[in-house]
Amino acid sequence: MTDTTKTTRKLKVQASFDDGDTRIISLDNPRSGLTEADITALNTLATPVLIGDKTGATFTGFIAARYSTVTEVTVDLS
Amino acid sequence: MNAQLKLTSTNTSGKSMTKTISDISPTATSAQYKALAQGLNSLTTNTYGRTDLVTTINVDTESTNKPAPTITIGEWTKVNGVYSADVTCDSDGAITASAGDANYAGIYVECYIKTTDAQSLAKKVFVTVGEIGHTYNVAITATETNNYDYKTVTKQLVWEG
Repeated sequence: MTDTTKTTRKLKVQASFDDGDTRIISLDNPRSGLTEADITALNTLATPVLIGDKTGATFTGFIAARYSTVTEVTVDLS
Repeated sequence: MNAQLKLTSTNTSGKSMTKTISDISPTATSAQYKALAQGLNSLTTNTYGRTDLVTTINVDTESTNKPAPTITIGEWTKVNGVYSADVTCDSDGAITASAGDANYAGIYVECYIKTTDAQSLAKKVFVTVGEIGHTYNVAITATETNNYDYKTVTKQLVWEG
């Protein structure tokens, strides 16, 4: 047996609320090459739906997004 | 009331997956939930599936708690060398009696405590053995059912023999 490698890629989008709180929404299998416009285009859709988790505050916009790639290597110990 | 949005989709390997988005307004419309779910999914390579709104109602457990019980220990009376005092207590849970220095050899506390209203007058605390001249702190502790609080009332007894 040889070592096995697993790579997981996620998109982490940061939502902001009017009580100053923020929250990360993590999405699996993100498309490559996403732009700021792709993310902020969802602001209008999120406004009536997302609320703050501490005070139920109003959503004010997506303020950041980043790709996260995690590579796990399972070492063959045989 | 907390709500969650559960988005079901299929990835490029054909595997179904569920994404839960917490802290969702419970007053948005179905069309608004669906639009956001589709919008978030458009950032991925997944195929849009279905969206479910899951609401959670939090049960207020504090309303089941009762206030701490009221306890009154009457005056000590001695009959045939045994001291006793009436106990008035409105607890519907456990009631115990103890002496503050119960590790003193010879001290013994009996407590006939009944928790039904019809037998409330039968509540008494007895102290049967003591050391002459010694002061004992006899305590009654009562706890209400479904209450995390308890109440303790202490009364001193000077053993006169």
